[in-house]
Amino acid sequence: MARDPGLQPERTALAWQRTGVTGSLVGGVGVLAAAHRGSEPLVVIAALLAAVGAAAAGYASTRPQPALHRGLPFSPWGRLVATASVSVLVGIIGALLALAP
Amino acid sequence: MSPETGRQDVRQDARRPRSVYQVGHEPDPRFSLANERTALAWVRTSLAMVAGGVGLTSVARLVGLTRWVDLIAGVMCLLGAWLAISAVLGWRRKELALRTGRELPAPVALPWLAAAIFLAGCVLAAVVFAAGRAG
Repeated sequence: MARDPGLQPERTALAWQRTGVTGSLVGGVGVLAAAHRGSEPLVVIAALLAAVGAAAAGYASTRPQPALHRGLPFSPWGRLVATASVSVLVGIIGALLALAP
Repeated sequence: MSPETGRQDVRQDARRPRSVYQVGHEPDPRFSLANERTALAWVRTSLAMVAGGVGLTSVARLVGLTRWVDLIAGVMCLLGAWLAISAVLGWRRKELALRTGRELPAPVALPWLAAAIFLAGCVLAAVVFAAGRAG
């Protein structure tokens, strides 16, 4: 892929940033909700997840864009699974908080 | 095959998941990147559902709403978790379709997501009206 006028690698990196920022925000919401219920283990887990979200956002900016413009092979699998895991785990924490008596 | 292409093939084999990258041909990178962005949009949708669920249960406890709201919030959180898994599996299915030249699979989660949001909206509206009458 020579110079792509659609700026696909840049758009993809920005999509990663949006997702990472959203992930850390949702982790932060999880921290607040768990703290409000007084559950310390859940606070720690949610804080870790917020950190993973922030790391994904930071990592997105290190993506090798020149290599992508040359069309070198690259797999988003690891980052995708890590980011999706943030959502799965905060979702389970949220369900625990909501359905607990 | 030039030595350069050979090197690229070795690197290609190292990519994970193997079940995707050892099948078919390398598609136009723009299509792969578009697939990646679609998966990320699904992950953000999933995160929004989770945030909505956590926010809803927090507000419900703060102002003492009925436990029905907690139930909706819990279901929203679980739906969000499922959407994140579906995003990853959907990326895998679409990348495989791109590599093998097959038709792209339909977005399975989309009708379920729309139906769930519709239902949650209806139930929440009913709760709000009931709370308004009682208060």
